[in-house]
Amino acid sequence: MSIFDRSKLLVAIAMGVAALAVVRCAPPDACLRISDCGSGLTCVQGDCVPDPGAAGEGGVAEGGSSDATVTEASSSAEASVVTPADASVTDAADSGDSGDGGDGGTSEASDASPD
Amino acid sequence: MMRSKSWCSALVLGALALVLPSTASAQEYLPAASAHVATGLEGGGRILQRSRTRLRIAGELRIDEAPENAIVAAGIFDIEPHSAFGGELRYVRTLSPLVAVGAGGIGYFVPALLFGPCAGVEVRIPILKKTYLAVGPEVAVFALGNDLPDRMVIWQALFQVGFRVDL
Repeated sequence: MSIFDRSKLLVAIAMGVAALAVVRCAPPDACLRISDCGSGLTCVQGDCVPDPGAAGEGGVAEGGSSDATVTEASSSAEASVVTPADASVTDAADSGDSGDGGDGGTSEASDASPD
Repeated sequence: MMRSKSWCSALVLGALALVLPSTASAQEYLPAASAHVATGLEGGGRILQRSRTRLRIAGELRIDEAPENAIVAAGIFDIEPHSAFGGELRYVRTLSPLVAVGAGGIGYFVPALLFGPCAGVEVRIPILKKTYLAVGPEVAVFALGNDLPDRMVIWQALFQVGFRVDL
């Protein structure tokens, strides 16, 4: 192997190491696909929010304990589609306060973000 | 009796025509295989982030009459931070012994569907007699599928590093 070939190999290895560094240091934090979010959630503008379709099928009507109970976007239009049966979810979403933990449905706020 | 003999002769001649090699030279297949790891950037809408890390295992087929043209089929495995499985089919044209360009379609099937076009450039650096270090940029756009959020198209700009072996 000539010196020229070896230098090209070293450049390629360096690029590979750089790519590995990117992988290690900067994990993606926003959802980009629907499958980035958990069940019952969908991806809107990079945030996982309750899926209106799943809510209509009872996906989040389980006493407010679903992952879909609290997200940063809970006060958006998507949250308003949650079924009336899940009143605790709607209350939590309207208050915009995820820290009181009053109904038990707000303790999993971190679960709403992409995995 | 004569009729059965002519039938037998025709059958024998037909069998010989199928079995014996023809005088014209046969096309020879030139297979190759490759494995790449890729990462880079991906986005959609106002989102821009580091893409998933992707493993790509590919098989390539050319014929000796036109060795600059190849069809490549690949399995695509997203390995982190989320896993997914898909495939890719593309046409690759070798511009020189060191450079090849290709374009085709890519799709993910698990956990949900995503489809779109893809293209890439590959620089092949000889390491051994039939083995190359293969690096280069890749782009893909996902415009179809049930894994897409509403009114969003996902794009990827990746850099891949791997090995290619002529079989």
